[in-house]
Amino acid sequence: MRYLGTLSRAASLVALLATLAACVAPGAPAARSGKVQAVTTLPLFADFIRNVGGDRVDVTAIVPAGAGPEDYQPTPQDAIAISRADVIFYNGLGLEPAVEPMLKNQARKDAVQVTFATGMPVIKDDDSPGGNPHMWMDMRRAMVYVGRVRDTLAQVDPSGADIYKANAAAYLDKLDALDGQIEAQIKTIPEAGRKLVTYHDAFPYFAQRYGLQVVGVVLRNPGSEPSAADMADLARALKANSVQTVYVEPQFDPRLMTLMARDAGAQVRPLYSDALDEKAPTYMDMMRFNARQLVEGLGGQR
Amino acid sequence: MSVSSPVQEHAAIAGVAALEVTGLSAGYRQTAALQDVSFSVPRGSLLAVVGPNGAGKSTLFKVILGLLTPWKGSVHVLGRPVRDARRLVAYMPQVELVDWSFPVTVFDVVMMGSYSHLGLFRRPGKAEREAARRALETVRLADMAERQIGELSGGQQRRALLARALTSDPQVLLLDEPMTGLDATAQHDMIRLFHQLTSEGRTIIAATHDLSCVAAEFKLALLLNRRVVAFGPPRETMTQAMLNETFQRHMLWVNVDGRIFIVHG
Amino acid sequence: MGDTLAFLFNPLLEPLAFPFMQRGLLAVALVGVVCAVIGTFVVMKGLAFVGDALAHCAFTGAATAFLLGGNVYLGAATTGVLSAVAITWVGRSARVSLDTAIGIIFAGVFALGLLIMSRVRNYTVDLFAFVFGNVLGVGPDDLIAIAVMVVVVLLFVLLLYKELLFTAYDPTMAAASGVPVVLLQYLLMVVLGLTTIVTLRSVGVVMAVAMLVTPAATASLLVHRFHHIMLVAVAVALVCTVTGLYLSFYLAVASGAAIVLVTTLAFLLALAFSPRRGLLTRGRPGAA
Repeated sequence: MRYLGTLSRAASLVALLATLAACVAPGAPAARSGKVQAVTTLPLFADFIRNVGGDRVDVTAIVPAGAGPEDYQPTPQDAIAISRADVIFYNGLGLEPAVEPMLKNQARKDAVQVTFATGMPVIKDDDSPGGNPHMWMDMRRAMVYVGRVRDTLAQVDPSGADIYKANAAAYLDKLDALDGQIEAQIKTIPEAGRKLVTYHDAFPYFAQRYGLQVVGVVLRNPGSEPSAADMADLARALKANSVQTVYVEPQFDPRLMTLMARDAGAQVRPLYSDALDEKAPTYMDMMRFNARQLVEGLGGQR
Repeated sequence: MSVSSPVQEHAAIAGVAALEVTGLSAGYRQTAALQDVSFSVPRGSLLAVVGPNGAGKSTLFKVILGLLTPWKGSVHVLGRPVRDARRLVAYMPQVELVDWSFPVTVFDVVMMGSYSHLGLFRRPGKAEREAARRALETVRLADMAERQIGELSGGQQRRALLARALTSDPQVLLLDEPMTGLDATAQHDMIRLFHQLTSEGRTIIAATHDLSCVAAEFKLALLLNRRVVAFGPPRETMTQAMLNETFQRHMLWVNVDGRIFIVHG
Repeated sequence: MGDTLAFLFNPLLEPLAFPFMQRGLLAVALVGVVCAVIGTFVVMKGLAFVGDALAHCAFTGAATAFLLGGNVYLGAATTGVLSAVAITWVGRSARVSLDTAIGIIFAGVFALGLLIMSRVRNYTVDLFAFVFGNVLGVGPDDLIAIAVMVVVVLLFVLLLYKELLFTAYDPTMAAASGVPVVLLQYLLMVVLGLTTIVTLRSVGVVMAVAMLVTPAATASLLVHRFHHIMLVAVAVALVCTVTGLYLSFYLAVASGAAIVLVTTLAFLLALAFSPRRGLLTRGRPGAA
């Protein structure tokens, strides 16, 4: 009699705990809501995913519009989003230092995690010995990113595989065409003028692909301050290369760069790398905008 | 107004009481610290103000210095209302309340006594330095002038503060517990100084807890406990009954060979 | 001979070839001087945390202004000054001491700023960089603000020196002597607030806090009269800011931090070797 009482009490306790666990556990797979739940870090990656996934995918970007990923601190909402994701796309190579530990701890065991930047040759420099992470600035590599999105979505949601293939193919065609246009536009800048000075070191891949040379950077390491010696190097580079225009990404305070530019008699123009905003809401807009700013600032023809 | 020559001042105001308090009521917020206080202090007096803590001694001083506006009544210093008499009154605060670790010399501190004469934006000059030096000589502290105030002993600290009060050549000196904690010799020296100053025609009003000293050395005593309990020469006013009433407790009053010793019971 | 001179002078002259270094040197030297002057009062009155507190409060003002779409610098300046007044007011009430007042206001106001920041989801502006400047980012407009601050502070202290000294040393007696003590206390804090804001904005928060305290503290170990302390503090500030900036140029390290470290080193040297109170020069432990 007593044994039965203890057993039923234990059973109801277990049932209670199970119910509680079910309430606080991460969300169930896609079958429930019907769409693939995708989470990524940068809004521009979200742009890729939307172009490939269409209506079949619900995308959330953790880093808000206009913010830089290197300094971003995740919020509890971000943790929840990650815990509900079926698939998580992020760049890697140290672009998102605060987010990566969260992926380890918050993501579901069966969620698929994709690092965009792996497997491609990297450009190393003193500040990123593992390789500079801003690969998507080279449109050819961005196309590899898009391919990875297509393949991963097809794997997670096989019934949509054909749709993903078709969407991706169309998008990749557009990217290819834009890539050619940008290449041609940059070529109109005279050789001597193809010197790039930006706020932070986000453009080595862009420069490599489109024939520019990065001659100066203000912020070597996001999160640390430039030293007087860094600024002196920049000043010398500006003078030595007779730089007409310097570029500042919108997520940074342009003050330092503006002063250096004024001292050197150069102009300041915006250029996008990690962050999107109302002026450049998609990846393609961003690249088109960049090309135009470079052409106008460095003496090319439209 | 120059810092020297008290003679003209004396001539002009001879015959007027040093301090005339009439029907004074004052306090903070709703609480009255002083109620209907009246007394008159002749020039050259050595007056002690005695009473328990919270009896209104500091309030009285604040009113005389013009730091607190009375609710009722009037206060006149040498015939003038308080706001016109600022330069005639000098104050010596309790030694414990002064910051002795501040990086100033004795001379710096004594010089501060001359500031009230100068007004804003004017720098102290030769006249002020002379006054400070004279004040230091009066209190016999001239040899310590260049020392840091932190180096002074208790008795020297008091003399420095007194010198500061004297720099402005005041007619009335308000001293807040000038002798508390001093040893017998230092006390004796201080009393001698008081007598010297009053013989020059200055009036000294000292708040003090040392009742035996008051009984022995002071010319006048004001027993204060929000109201005036008694005012007059210590012989008459510092009786057992008056003291008990002032302090609201039994005081030990002993007469030894004509010398009166009073101790809190 | 000429070569030796060149060897000695070239390292001094080379950074001066860069306009940003010229501006930076001028800025830190002037800021150092002003902070040393006001800082003498700060240190002697035990207000060392006020600079830090005001910096944090200014940040809240900037965040609020940003959220409301107003002028960020004006928001920072207004909040900084208001906080200075609030600290004085709370500290004057006999219920809490001044450093308690500082702690309370500082924590509360800064927390409010963090709250506001957490609601800001649009990061198109790097708000921290906006409010807290950088030695290397001193522009001509910053230099103008610094120049105005220098004039205001020096006039204030020179004209009212004896009243300020008296008020700082013995406010009761000062009031009894007719000095407008309350007004001066508030004015001093307002001037301190403005100094902190201009310093913050032009050379950053690391320096703003340290330059108010360390040079005056160093001077107090070496000389013992208030106006001497102020003069020595100014000299220490001048030497350390310029040296720190030069070092940051040649050693490729963060400028603000370099300046603060050099100044702190000066303090440690004074602590060790001060004629009266040095740790290494005292005859026996406990000697005065």
